[in-house]
Amino acid sequence: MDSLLHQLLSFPPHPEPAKPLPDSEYDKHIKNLVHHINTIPASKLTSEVPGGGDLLDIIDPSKNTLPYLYTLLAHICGSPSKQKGGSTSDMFSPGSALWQKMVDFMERFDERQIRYAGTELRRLIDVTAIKAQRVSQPWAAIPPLRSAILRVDESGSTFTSSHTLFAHLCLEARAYTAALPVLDHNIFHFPPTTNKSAENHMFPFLSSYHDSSSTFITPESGLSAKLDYRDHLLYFLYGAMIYMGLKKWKRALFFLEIVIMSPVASNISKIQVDAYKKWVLVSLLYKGHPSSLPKTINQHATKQYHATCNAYDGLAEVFKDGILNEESDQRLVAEATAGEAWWAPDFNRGLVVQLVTAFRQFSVLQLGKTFAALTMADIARRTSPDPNDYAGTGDYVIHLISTGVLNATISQPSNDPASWILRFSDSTSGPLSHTEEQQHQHLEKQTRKINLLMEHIREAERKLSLNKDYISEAKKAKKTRHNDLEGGMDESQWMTHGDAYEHDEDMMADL
Amino acid sequence: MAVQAEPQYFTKARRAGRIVVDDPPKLDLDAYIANYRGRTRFDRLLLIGLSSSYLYLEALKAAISEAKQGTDVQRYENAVMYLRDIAPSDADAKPDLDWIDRTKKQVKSATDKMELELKGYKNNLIKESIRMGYDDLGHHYHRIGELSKSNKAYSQMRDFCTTNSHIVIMNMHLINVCIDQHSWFAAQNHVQRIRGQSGSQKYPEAEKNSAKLSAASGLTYMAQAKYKEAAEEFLSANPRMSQAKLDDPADEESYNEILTPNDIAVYGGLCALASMTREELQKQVLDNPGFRNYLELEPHIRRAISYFVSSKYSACLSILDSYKADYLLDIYLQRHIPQLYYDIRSKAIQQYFIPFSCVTFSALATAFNTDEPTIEFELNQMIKRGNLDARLDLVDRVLLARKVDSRSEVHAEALATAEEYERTAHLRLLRIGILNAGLEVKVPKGLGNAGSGSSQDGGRWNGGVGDLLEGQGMRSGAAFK
Repeated sequence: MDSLLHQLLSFPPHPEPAKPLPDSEYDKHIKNLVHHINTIPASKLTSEVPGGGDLLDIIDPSKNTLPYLYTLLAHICGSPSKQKGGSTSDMFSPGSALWQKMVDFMERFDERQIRYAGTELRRLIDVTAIKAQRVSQPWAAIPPLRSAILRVDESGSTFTSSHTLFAHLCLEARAYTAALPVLDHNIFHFPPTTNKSAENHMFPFLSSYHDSSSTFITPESGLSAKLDYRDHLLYFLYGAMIYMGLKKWKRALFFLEIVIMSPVASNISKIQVDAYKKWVLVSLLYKGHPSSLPKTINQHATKQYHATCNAYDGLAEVFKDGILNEESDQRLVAEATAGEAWWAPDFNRGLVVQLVTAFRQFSVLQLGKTFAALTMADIARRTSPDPNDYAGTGDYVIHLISTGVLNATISQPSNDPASWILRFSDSTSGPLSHTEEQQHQHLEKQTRKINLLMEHIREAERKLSLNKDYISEAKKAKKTRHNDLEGGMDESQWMTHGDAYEHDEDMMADL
Repeated sequence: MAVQAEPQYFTKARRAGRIVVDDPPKLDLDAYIANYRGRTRFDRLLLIGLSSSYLYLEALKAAISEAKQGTDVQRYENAVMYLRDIAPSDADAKPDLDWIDRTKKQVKSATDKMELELKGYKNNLIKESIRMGYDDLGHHYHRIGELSKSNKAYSQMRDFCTTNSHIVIMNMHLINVCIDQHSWFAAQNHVQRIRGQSGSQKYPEAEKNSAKLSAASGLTYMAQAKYKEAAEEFLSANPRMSQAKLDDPADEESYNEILTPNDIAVYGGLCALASMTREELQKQVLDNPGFRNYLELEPHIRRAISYFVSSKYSACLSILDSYKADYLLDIYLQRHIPQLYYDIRSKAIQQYFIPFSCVTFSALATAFNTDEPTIEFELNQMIKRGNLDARLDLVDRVLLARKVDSRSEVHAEALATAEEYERTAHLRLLRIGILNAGLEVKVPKGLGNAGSGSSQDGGRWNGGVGDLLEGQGMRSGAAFK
């Protein structure tokens, strides 16, 4: 037993050497260790150590991550041989000591070592999620999963199967704000499911520092299960629904757009149809008018969307016309009621109900396009459900101003709400206007965001240029125009990591 | 004619949204209609009869007698029917069945005769005779109101035209028929055909017809509500037609089977007013030596345009208003007057408003001869349609120009562009990523084509977790501990 312990703790060296091991050495040692642990039977890992206690009490998860993880799994699942069927130990449930150990592990594991045990980590994540669901306490699994996802990939830019699982859990637990730390990270990369990419020679060692998480989260690493198209569609749809729950319409719209513009081989998926329906409603809630589909969607898919969702398109049309023609909300309400049979089975009734409230809000906003100032009596006459309810209108308008929806000021010369005056402000005045300084800050922030995006584009370009299909095409292309081509094939731009990166647009155009 | 209670017919028509003119027009019906020739006389009379509650009796009676002089039985019957609707007690409201029978027989025999003659010509294979035969037939059909047959007959002339002048003649006929048929697009085509022909080599025939061509072309553009193009056509009309003697059917310059030079001045002037800026009006209308000849025929249009150019909008508008009744009784203008007047008026308001940063409603109302509620409604409409970049202040009752802070505007725009760029680039990057990872939506192998795409997802997607708002407490994630 002592020898086992000794072997398990043999790497990484303790205390840490003054000079860190080179990546190649580190890689070699840790691979040995993984190989070794895999040969140890689970029963041995779970047995008590001499002198009492459990291996889990002895090993420090932040230093000896791998042995700890294997032991933990052995405790939870029994022997690795019968891991199928998801049989988990009864000892492992939210609140138990073993659960606490898992939570502890997720918070403290070593980010470098964990890359060598991707499959095992994923198994731990899966088991945790399944267990939490099984005992109907989905929220219990959220914090450990969240920290696992964020600690494996600090940038949060590569999609994994755990993302979908996590989003699903949050939705089930209705823990919307708890999901944000993960959702707010933009996804930029997807681990390939096909083996089309060439060998990655840039970063041969998992333990090295990687510019982008997409180079170590690969199918081989096991950090993500083998994906299929449903995984990412569901993740973005779940994400969108979480943002909808928080009324963050802009972000929800973006997530939905990702779903509906996902490339389609032949027919659109039902998930996409659902996303389209929500997209129509959310764009009305966010912008007050229907938006046009992104250009990247091909015509065939566009037709399918319209054909399957014409009740929603019709509702959007009524909404838009009502706002533009300053009509009352009667038609919209009638349309919403008539379409009950469509909204209810799609679980969109909540959104449709909000649409009716939003109608009033956008009618008031619309007034700002034509008028500079009106009395409350005028506003009530034009937008309120009851044109004589001046006090109610006044309260509503004040509510809009105070929530930052309406850029306007109100003056109350007397106690009679009918005489209150609403003045719409233009972009340079009023409560919502920005000073020059603020505008500048916004621009700077946006610049940073775009620069970040550029890095990811560069990374995608690099990956694409390693794609076998691309290489064979490039070879062909080279052959056909070898006469007028002086150099070799396009000197890979990602090699010159500088700012001289003028061809990003071309890359977009090619695809 | 004594002013009397309005016949029911007009009340109904007004309710149905048709144009009814109550005000007595300035024109004298007899003098007006004497300027025209051919089918258009009847059409114009009928239109006046159906739209003017002041002149209807006179006009309809004139229309009936006009129809009786011709050979188009259908027309006659229509006119009598309308008169019966409007004034059932009138003596003319009974159809003259004798005349109908007689004319029908005459027409039939004439048609048969011509068809037979044409057949004979065809057998003789003499091109010129065949052409003449079709020409006669086309004329005949046009006269009796069989417009599509007439069109066909004229079109068939083409193969037998031997000279360019024949082709020009044929196309001119076709233009007239198309205008009567109200197929503006086809008429425009024929105009272009003649013009295209004379493009490379100058045909004297085309040159001779240039004024007519401009008039016809302008008319078709106007009918399609392309006022700017219409104005340009009318303005470039060759002045030769302005001297045409309208009462002399032998005068080759006159085009009064379609319109008169006066009409050219009115149509051209109104379209120009509605579509051109003040500078353009000065340069292309008032300083246009060719068009001046026409404008002299309708001096009030000329006055209206000069008032507009010199920013005396209310004077300009009041001239137009005083002629509105006349224009509404014009066969081609009627449909377009509301739009043309709206355009002119809103342009005037725009121009008036340029130097101000704010104007009271009352000042605007005085400047444009109206009262405050009307001008408020009008301004509201203009802003909504995007014709006026300003906002209404209903409290102080002023129109406020939009203040623009260019610097902050540019900042905001830059920010919006950047955000949009980030968004699209990100979306495309994801798309590439999905494609590269082989994650596009596809039918799983072995299932074949799933058809509607609904079954391919299997049972895994069942519509989400639940309606987002169904339960309270879901809104903020309060359930999370």
